[in-house]
Amino acid sequence: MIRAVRNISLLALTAFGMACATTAPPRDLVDARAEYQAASDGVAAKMNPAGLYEAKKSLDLANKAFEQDANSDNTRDMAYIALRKVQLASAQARIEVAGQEKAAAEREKARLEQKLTQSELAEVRRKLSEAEEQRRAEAEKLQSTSQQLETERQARLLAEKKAEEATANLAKIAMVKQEARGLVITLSGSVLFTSGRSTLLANARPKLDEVASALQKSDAEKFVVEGHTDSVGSETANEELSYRRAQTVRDYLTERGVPAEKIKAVGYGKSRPVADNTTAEGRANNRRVEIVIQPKG
Amino acid sequence: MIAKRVLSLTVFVALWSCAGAPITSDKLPATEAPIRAAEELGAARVPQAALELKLAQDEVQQAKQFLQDGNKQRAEMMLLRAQADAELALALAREAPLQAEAKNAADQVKAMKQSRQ
Repeated sequence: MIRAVRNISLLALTAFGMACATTAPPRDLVDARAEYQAASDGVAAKMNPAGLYEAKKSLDLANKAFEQDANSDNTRDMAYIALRKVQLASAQARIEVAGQEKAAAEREKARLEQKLTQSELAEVRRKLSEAEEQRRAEAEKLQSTSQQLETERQARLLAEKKAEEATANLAKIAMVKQEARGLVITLSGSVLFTSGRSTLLANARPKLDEVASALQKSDAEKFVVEGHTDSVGSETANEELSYRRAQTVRDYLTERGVPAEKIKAVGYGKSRPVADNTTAEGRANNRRVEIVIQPKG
Repeated sequence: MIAKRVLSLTVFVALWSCAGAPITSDKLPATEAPIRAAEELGAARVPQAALELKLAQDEVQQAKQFLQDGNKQRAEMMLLRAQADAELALALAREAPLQAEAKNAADQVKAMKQSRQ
């Protein structure tokens, strides 16, 4: 009895672990949690508790959406909004601080002005004017460099956003998993090909168009199309079939604009199963094409 | 007989109205207001605010497309994203000049104090 309970607990823990392994929170949610923590420990807690409370409500909704469906559009949207609300609370707190500092400095300035003689005041104004001139010249020199950097940064952020949207679109037509070897897009063999052949089905083309679009938006340097089969048939036949299928997918993706030099095809035959080959369902899962987006470096 | 005709006409008009009327969202004005405010406050001149403003504007366009496609739920979520971006753009556009003014005032105080030493 105790062993049975322990086995069930182990199974539950394994299932939980597997679920966690495949459902990493969206990056915006990770960032929102971290920025909220920093804001709670920082100036926002004192200067803008109401804004921080609004951000917390938004973050709670995002966390709840993530628990209910980790990969939904709703979860990604909630996480995105939560991150902005946290950033807004912090920005409003900084505005409050800057306003107070400005008012304090102006009060101090008025107090000092009364104590200075006319000649001292004139000297101060001359020095400030010189300093202002110098600052303006330095700012102009810096502006061209920083403007260029900022343009590049904004372009990168927009590209990242487009890539995230492309991945989200992909998740609707294929299984998308983050693994150590990179982001893996898995397409079922039966969706792409007729049994035993390597000619693409008509229905496969729109799905591969979506994949091609995501690959083009990715900044990865290398993509690998891997063909896999079930264990039925000889090793040689399976290796050949898996390679031909991977090659067909690769050719289609390059036709659709993915740079040929970045993408290669590999046939693994039946050597890398992901499911049990003794059941029909397991064999269907093993007949697949995986596209691995390898991270930079 | 007349009652039946009137009923048919009513059903026809109701169906025609549903088919022809574009789907709208009452969240659109709530999004457009902070976008306009951020534009008027010069968000385009503050790099980080400019980015948030651009994201908000893009999201409003996407929301309008979703509304045209009849996907009101996605449209409203996109408008909430746009609203969050626009409000952040507005705050960042306010913050930048205020920080500069605060620094300027502090520099003036520093210079006055130095002149007395």
